[in-house]
This record gives sequence, C-alpha cells and structure tokens, in this order.
Amino acid sequence: MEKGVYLRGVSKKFVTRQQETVDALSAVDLAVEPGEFISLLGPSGCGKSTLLKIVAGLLPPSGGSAWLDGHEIVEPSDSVSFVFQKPTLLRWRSIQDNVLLPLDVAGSRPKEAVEYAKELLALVKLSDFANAYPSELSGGMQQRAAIARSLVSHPDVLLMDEPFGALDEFTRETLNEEFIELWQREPKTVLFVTHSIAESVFMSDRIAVMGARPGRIIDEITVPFPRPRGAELRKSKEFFDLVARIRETFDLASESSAREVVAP
Amino acid sequence: MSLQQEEKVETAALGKVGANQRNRWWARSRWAPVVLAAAVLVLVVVVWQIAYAARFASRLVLPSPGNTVASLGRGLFGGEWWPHIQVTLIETLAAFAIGLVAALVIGSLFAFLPLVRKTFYPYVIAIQTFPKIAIAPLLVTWLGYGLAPKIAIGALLAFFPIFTNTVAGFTEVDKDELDLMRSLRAGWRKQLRYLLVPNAVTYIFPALNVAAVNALLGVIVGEFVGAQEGLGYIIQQKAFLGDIAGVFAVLIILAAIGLGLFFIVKFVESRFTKFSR
Ligand SMILES: Nc1ncnc2c1ncn2[C@@H]1O[C@H](COP(=O)(O)OP(=O)(O)OP(=O)(O)O)[C@@H](O)[C@H]1O
Ligand SMILES: [Mg+2]
Repeated sequence: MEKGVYLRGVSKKFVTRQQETVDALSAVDLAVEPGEFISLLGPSGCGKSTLLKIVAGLLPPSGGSAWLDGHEIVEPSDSVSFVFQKPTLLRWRSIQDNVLLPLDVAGSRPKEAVEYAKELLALVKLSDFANAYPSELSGGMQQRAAIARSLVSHPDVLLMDEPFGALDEFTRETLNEEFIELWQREPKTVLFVTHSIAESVFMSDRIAVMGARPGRIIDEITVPFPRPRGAELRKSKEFFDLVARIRETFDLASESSAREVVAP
Repeated sequence: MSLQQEEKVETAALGKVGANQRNRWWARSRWAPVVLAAAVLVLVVVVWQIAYAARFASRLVLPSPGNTVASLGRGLFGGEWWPHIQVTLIETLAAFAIGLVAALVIGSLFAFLPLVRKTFYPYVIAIQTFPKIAIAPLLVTWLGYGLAPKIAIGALLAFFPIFTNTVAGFTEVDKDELDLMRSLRAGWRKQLRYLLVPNAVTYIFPALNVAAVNALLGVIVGEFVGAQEGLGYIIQQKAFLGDIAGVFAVLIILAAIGLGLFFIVKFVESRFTKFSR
C-alpha cells in the first residue's frame, strides 16, 4: 500500500450559471509523501481550493483520481482535517467547544481527548480564552483556534486553504513560525495553499507552483533549507534568491500565456 | 489576562484621554442612565400637569396625571380590571404560542422543501405586505365574539417576523461551515443538530420580542372590533363614556404588559445565547 496523497491526472470542470464550462483543473499529477509539507502556490483562480477540496473528498474530480494511503478518495476521511481561509468557528460555541466540535460530531468526548484539546489550546496560546466566544477574539486568535480544532482528531493529513491569508503580515509571520513549531512536534502530511511566495518558501519542503486557465502544476521546487527554520531565515540571501527564482517562474508563465493570447 | 480585565483597562484609558470631555459625572456614573431616564419621566409628568392646569387642551380629552393615577389605582385595587387583564394576557400568550409554532413549522417546510417554497412564495409575500389588521372585522364575523378571532389576529401578526427569520436561519448558512461539517463526516442529522438548528436559533430569537409585541397589538385590535371583555374592550367603554382618565390608565397597563413581554423574551434569549453576534 502506498502511503501518502497521490493525484493522477485529476481534472475538474465547472458549469457556470451561464452554462459556460470552466476548466478549473486539468491533468494534475502530484505525489505527497507521508510527513511532507507541500505548498500549492499560484495566482487567484488557478484551482488551488478546488484541488484541496478534491483531496478532502468534498468535491469529486471530473477526470482522473485522487488517492490517500492506497484508497481512492470518494468521501471525507477521519484521518484528514481541513483548515479554511476564514476561521469558520461556530459563533454560538465557546472556543473550547469549537475545538471539541470534531469529537461531538463523532459522538463522544473521551477524557483523553478533552485533555488533548486543552493541551492544544495551550499550544496555540489560547488557554485563557477557552470559555470566550469567537466574536471576542481577534482574527489571528480565531485562526489559531481553528488550527487547534483541526488537530484535535489526530489527523494524518492537514489540508490548509490559505489559513493565514486574511491576516496582516506581522501576524501571519508569527503564526507561520508557531505553526511550524507545532508541526514539528507532531509531524503530519500538510498540503498548504497560499499565494504568498515568501510564505511558501518559509514553510514547505516542496512547492508545487500552479498556473491558471486551465489550472495545472507548472513547476515543482524543493526547498533546501534545513529545519528548524527561524525568523532569521527570512533575512538570508538564499531565501531571497529562491523567492526571486519562483517569481521568475510566474513571470515566464504569464509571458507565454500572454503570447498565446496575442499570437492567433 | 482575562477578557474582562482587558476591557476595564481600555475604559480607564479612555477616561484619561478625553479628560475634559469624558470625565463628567454623567459619563462616569453607572447610575447616570437610570437617573436620566427617570428625569425624562418626571419632565413628561410635569409638562402634562402644566398642560392640564393651563387648559392647553380641553379637560374632556386630557385628564390630569393625578386623576389618571387615581383611576389606575381604582381599576387595579378595586379588582374590576383584573379579569380583563387576564383575558388579554391569555389571548396574547395563545396568539404568540400559535404564531410561534406555526412559524417554526411552516418556516422549516419553506427552508427544506424547495417545491413548497416555490409554490407558496408569491402568496406569502402577498400576505406579508397586506395590512393584516384590516381583516379583523371579517374574522370576528367568522369566528364570533369569543377569544378565537383575537387570538387569530394576534397569531397572524406574531407569525411573520418569526417565519421570515426561521427561513433565513435555516437557509443562510455559511458555505464553509457546511463544508466543515461535511469534512467532519456529519450526516444530515448531525448537520441539523450542530449547525443548522443553532444557526436558526440565532436568527429566531431576535424576532421573538417583535412577535410578542405584535401578538398584543393584534389582540387589542380584535377586542376593539368586537368583544365583551379584555383591555381593548375597556378602552372603548371608557372612551365611549368620556372617562378619559380611565383610558389613560388602561394605556399605562398595556404599556406595562408590552414591556413585560419584551423583557421576558429578552431574558430567555440571554439565557440561551451567551455569545454576541
Ligand atoms: N462551484 C463552482 N462553480 C463554478 N465555478 C467554480 C466553482 N468553484 C470554483 N470555480 C472556478 O474554478 C476556478 C478555480 O477556483 P478556485 O476557487 O479553486 O481557485 P483558487 O486558486 O482557490 O483561487 P483563490 O486564490 O482566489 O482562492 C475559478 O475560475 C472559479 O471561478
Ligand atoms: Mg481559494
């Protein structure tokens, strides 16, 4: 049995209300090893969220297939957790109850699980806010709570759709570092969607660079920096060089698609 | 640091910043709102008394505050009004309960059965925009002079705010929250229990106090049209007999009932929903 996440020729077409067909994804191949941190990096509309939802089993692919640990993905799985761009906390539940939601839905709150939820709240620095309601927290704190919720069920795979996209740069960088620390304590496979080049370089082992129309993977880049990575990495020359190289990839891709538009 | 502590720190800081503006006694004191509200009441009564004494309006249409209070006391302690208060309260509670249950049931059908929604939507809009109290005389003719027509009008008026919010509460659900439930492998029962019902409750509660006040309104209109008991009936009797102080006294009782309903609903809401929206 092949452990990990595998995409084989995955494509997705949407039919819009005006009856036009949108090629959100076309022939995406991707292999993600267990424990690997991979970023999906690309401009808005290139199909990153669509790809993640297919892996989550929330959306069926139009063609090709997606696999998790040797099983084809046809529905959401217990061993996969999703983190959305907005915190998506239920406003009538306290922070602690939000973190415990996956257990409630599963049917019971075993004592160890409640202890683990408390531990997670401490790890994301929200112990003092366990009984607060989401509206009483800042955006960054809410997203921390959402991350704690995604970990409470001990998933093997974490799917994160621009989890820090709505935050300001300072908060985002802090959360980047905190999350990497968390992830190193409890290694798991992460598919991390972002459209920030620097964020993807800082966080991941490997970056799948995506292009739009149709959505596809145009390049795969291995990030060579050793872990643990600290804040100093962001200021190093190697970091800037890699960011510049990836930017180059995007410029080339948009030039060639611009030519395609002009040529005929 | 707890939330409350942070809040306090903030308020203290505010006080310092705008020292000359915000440090007045009425901005600082916890009792200031109560005192100010009471002052308004006193002012109204004083102006009322002056208007009465100076005969700004004929004494046939404007009673004195003193006579009004005397009339209120006679009605309440003479025991004459209690049966009528009871009737109006029973009608209002029945109207509210019927309106509530009907709105929850029909609202849920609308939310979950698209066919029902598409079929009845135009009619619901038509009834909603229709001035419903206009059918009060018709209902009295149909249902007689007992409690039934009053309850019917009250229920009809209580129905719509709850109905509208029930439909909204079950249909306006965040797409990501639905995806979250699906990713947690929640079947429809669990989606209902953990997402849809609590979401609907947050929409329905704010509609309840409007509905309670509407129920009272409908009942009083029903009593105006045709009744032998109830506060609406007493108002008409007193007006007919030229007992203006009596009319004012009953209006004060109605105001108290309306406020009472409003605060009871608010209290129940605050027990159920500890979060702020
Ligand atoms: N339910 C849908 N119906 C029709 N079209 C859709 C639907 N979902 C996505 N699309 C289209 O598919 C394409 C990819 O969308 P997707 O949300 O995956 O992009 P994205 O890379 O996540 O973008 P962003 O960075 O803005 O979130 C877009 O062109 C979008 O319009
Ligand atoms: Mg997206």
